[in-house]
Amino acid sequence: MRVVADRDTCIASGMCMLAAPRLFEQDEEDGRVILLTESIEPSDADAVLKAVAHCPSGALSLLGE
Amino acid sequence: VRADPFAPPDALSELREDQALRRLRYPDGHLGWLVTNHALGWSVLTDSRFSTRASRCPVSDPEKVAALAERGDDPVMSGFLLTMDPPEHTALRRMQTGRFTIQHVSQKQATIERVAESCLDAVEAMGPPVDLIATYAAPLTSLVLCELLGVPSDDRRHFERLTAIRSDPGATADEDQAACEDYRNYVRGVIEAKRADPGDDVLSDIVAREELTDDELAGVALQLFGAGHDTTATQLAMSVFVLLANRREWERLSSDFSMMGSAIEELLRYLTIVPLAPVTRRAREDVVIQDVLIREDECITVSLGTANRDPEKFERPDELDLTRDSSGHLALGQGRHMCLGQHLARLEMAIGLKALMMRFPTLDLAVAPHDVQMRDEAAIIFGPEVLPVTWS
Repeated sequence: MRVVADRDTCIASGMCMLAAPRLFEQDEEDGRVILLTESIEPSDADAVLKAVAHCPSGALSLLGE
Repeated sequence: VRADPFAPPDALSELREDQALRRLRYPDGHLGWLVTNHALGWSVLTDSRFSTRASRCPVSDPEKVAALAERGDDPVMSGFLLTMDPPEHTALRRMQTGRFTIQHVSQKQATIERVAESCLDAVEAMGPPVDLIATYAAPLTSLVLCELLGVPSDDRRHFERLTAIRSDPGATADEDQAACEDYRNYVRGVIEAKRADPGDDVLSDIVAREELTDDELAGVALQLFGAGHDTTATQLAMSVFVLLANRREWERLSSDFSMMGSAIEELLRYLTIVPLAPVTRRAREDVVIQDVLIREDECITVSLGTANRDPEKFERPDELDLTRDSSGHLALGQGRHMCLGQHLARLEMAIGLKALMMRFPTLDLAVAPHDVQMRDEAAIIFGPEVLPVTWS
């Protein structure tokens, strides 16, 4: 499983970092999403699913195997 | 009047069970829509085919609206994010989001703790009983806002006055107009001060860019002051109120602050202090949701309170459970207009609750819960007028 972030769409809500702080950070300048890693360990899968589902702008998406 | 001050009005909850998307007649005669469940509320708020340039409110007093309209007081103010659409909205929001990230806000922890402790010193010196809103919730959030925006603490009277008038449905159009005028003059002064002597704050950042007109800058300042104090103050007061009315939950949280994160989300979900008024959108084109056609220019209002008590989304929704996973609630909005200051609000809540519980472990309501005077249903933010508390 991989996660991709569309920084053009991102509104910098920080919801992804709140849900999965090991995988997402907010840009210091304007708060937009920064992916810390693209490939997801199974132990982080739940947190990532939540981050994707709760993203208010639809900037995050999951790609399968 | 609500039977339960913490729950949305029964009539709205019944609509959710009956037909969650239905026609709504607005006070000006417009025939639009009302959404009362979680799934539809979420989809409306995240759908870019709905604009926030609605200029319509489901519960406002039509005579007051008409009086303001005659004076040419356009409710769509420039620089005001909540009345803007992309691409202007996106650009203006990005000028501010860097100051509201989780990392940036967490640097303010010591400041907020200091303000909370000094407010509590004053409360302790005063002795019981006190109104917890006037002595703690309001000064805490207002003084933190003054610190973060780099203005003198005395300035809180300017933004608190307009909020008080806006929260009082009995206020006349003349009073509203006078308070707006005073407030606009105040923020223009603040902007001049930031231009002359920039500080380390979001307003100084935006002034320094020299990209916005003075009217737009005033709108930005209006929004930052307006959205940043009464919202969090009311959420803090309502949280203390519900925890004291459910003493076991107060004790539970006091004895284990590690549940603070989930407790704050649950208090946001359970209390949902934003009533119907501000959550209206307008269809920019014909939109079909759940086989229902919403025509271009029709307004649609989302009831956040009933959405957050939707049993399809949350198990046992009417039960306050501080350790449940309440994520996905709509108390801070959803979509591109989701609360800009949400992480600041969370931090103020966490610090404000913990400091209060540690200082006054025996805190209790000084009146019966049903005797706590609540604001009018038409207020922009719903909560108690005063919260009388005591301790031993």
